[in-house]
Amino acid sequence: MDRKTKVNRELANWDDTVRRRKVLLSNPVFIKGLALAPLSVAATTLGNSLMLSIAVILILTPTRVITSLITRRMSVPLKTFFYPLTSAVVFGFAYYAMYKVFGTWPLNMGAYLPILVVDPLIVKNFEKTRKESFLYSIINGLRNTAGFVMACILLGTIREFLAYGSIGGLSIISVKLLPMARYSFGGFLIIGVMCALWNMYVNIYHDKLKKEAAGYELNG
Amino acid sequence: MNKTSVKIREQSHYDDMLLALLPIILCACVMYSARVLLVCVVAFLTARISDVAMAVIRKQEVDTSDKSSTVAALVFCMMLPVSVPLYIVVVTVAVTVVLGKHAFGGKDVYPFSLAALAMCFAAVNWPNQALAAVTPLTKVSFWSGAAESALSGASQIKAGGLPYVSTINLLLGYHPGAMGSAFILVILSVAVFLLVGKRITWHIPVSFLATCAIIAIVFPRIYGVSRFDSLKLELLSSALIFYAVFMLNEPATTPHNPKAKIVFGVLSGVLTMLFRYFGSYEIGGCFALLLVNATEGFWDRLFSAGGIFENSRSFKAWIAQLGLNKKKAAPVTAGNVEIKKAKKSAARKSADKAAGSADTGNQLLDIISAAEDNIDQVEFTTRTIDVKQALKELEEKQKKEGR
Amino acid sequence: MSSMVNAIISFFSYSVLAIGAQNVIFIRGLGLSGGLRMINDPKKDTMYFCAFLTLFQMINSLLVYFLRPLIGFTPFARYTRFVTPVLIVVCCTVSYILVVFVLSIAVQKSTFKRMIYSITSASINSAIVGTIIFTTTLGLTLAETIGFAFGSSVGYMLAMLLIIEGERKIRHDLVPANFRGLPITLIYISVLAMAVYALTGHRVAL
Repeated sequence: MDRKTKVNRELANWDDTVRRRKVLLSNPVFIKGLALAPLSVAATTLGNSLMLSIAVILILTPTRVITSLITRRMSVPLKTFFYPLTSAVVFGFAYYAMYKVFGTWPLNMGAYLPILVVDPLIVKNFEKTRKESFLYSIINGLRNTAGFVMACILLGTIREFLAYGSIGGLSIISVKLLPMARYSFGGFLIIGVMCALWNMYVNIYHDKLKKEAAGYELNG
Repeated sequence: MNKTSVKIREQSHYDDMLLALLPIILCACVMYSARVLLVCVVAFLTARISDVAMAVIRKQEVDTSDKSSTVAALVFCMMLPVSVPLYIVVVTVAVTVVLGKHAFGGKDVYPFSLAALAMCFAAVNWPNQALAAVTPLTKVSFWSGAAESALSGASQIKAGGLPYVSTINLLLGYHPGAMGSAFILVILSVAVFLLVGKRITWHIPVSFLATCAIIAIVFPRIYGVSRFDSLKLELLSSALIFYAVFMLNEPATTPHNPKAKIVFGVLSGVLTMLFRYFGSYEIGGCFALLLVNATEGFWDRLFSAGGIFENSRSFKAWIAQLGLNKKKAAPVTAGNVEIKKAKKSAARKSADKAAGSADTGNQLLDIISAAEDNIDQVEFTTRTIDVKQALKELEEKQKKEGR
Repeated sequence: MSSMVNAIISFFSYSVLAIGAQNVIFIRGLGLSGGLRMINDPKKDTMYFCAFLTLFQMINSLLVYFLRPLIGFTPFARYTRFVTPVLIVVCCTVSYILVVFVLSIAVQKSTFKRMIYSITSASINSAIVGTIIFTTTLGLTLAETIGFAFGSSVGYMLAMLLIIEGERKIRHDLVPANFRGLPITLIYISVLAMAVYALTGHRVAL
């Protein structure tokens, strides 16, 4: 597909374009505001962010795949509880596996790993009446996971740098630029600013596509 | 009172606030050295540059009449010790102006008192530097701010101690503390100037201080002195009077209705004393003010014409006032009512007349229904639909399609 | 008698702790995503949502308090920590079914229809799960558990009231386009959270 057709198609189906690009244009954290609790409170360092990311990698796609197979004929009220139940079971195995590999590190995250079980990031699909195919559930699960992991790592890195002057435990600068970044309200502030920057990126990308399309039209 | 006169009034408010801060800054310079001026100039310039930068980024005209940032920056400075590092002043003022003011929409629409927000931001991030106190009339290094530090009266009370400062020294501000928030006599004189000039009203300061006084008398936390002395120390050794004059009267963040102002003042007083008694920081007033600012609109609605305390209302209407029932609280505009009337009869008749077919009438109804959905979904916009305009657009669309 | 008095004191002190120092939204960030989506959904009624959240919080806290020790008698005794989320979800399901059943009989159909949107999201969310995990991890007594659960839901309701009031002020076209919606709401919440944090300076207990 040549660039002109691609640009026109993306613009013509902009909502669809946004929905498919879960990492950047429709990031589950910075655009949709999902998983705010663990990110604002627990993702204070790169290490904690890695733990959260591993947990989501182990839970999100398997939950989505299992529920897409089993809940095809379920009504929304039934799905409301089947989704969290499936994610809770999957989480149990994932949590145990993380404990075996990382020791007490995941346990030190407190309630912020277990609450992923009912977080809209994992279970929000129960509200949709549209049935999801097996392949689509895998693809969408992986897209959402990638979007969350990118946001989580970025956030953890930025917060650790601002609050402690280090990244991954390695000291970069001796000054603490913004000590409040380690607290929950600092997390809300930084996520809010990142959301605004993300919105700016999406708008700039959209404008860039429009200009490109207009350029193609002028040139014929 | 029309919009223009309100705007002129608010501009004059900030001009007079700047004027009112001058004697306090002068007293601070006398007590704590010329570094006070350096800190004030740095804060002033940072606020101005931030305003200009945001105007450029947002592609708007630079509003030279908007002095809310500069007033807030100077009020913030007066609550800091003279030894505060300049980078703290710059970062705090810049973040406050950009995120606390312009991110919320800019002039007159920000929800939180800028000075209180700045002070809270500095206290949370750099408590040792922002909440320190300097002994007056001692040497202060001009550039680095190195100075002889001491415990302020408020810190001593917080730690369970008793500040040994005479009443006259408390009134003159001759005790360790922030740059400008301790000059009680000067602040009271300035308050009289602002009251006479009607730049502030008595409702909030009086209700705030009265509430603080009652709580200090009824529940004293300073032991070994009489209740009156305890009251005197609570009110005069901290920045309560400074808050009452300079921070609780910001036009953008306080109610306009007089009764609402009194309630606002009382609530501020209660929360301030709660934060001072049980909070982690002695500047409880600033944190309390942020919480009370969040309720400002509610008090105005409650006491305005049509609010619950103006007319007797049923419980359901009161809940609607709280804004909890989103659907029922949706504003009914003339446009909405027009649409509902036009939908069934006039739209169908005129649509059929215009295009001569049921299909066109359905298209028009679709346009109107979609617009209604938008109005219902977004609670606080007041978009209305003009039926005639919708018909015109439909006719133009059909002409383009060649019908 | 003294144990009753102690229980009442524990109830009130943990309620106040949950409303203020460990506020479920401002300090612990729980239930925020769901709360923001609830605000923006015209089908969901905030009053019903908060009322049902309180009800489900109390019921589920009690259910988990009494049922969690029974895991010790099952083959999963060694894995109690990893099985607790499953137990919580099961308790939420049971309480949801009970409440819906009772309401469908006791309440008018039109009212029930309005309530059901709020009941579903109020019955299972991170505010409930997080609070229950906190109380079980700390090993609180029955009175403390009920007090903390009650205080959490009251704290949630107060926080949502402040956020809804704030939404009135920040939903206008003067907010820069890139900040509209989620970004400015989060910045608003961060200011309120900073103020609540100053009340005790406590770090969030994970």
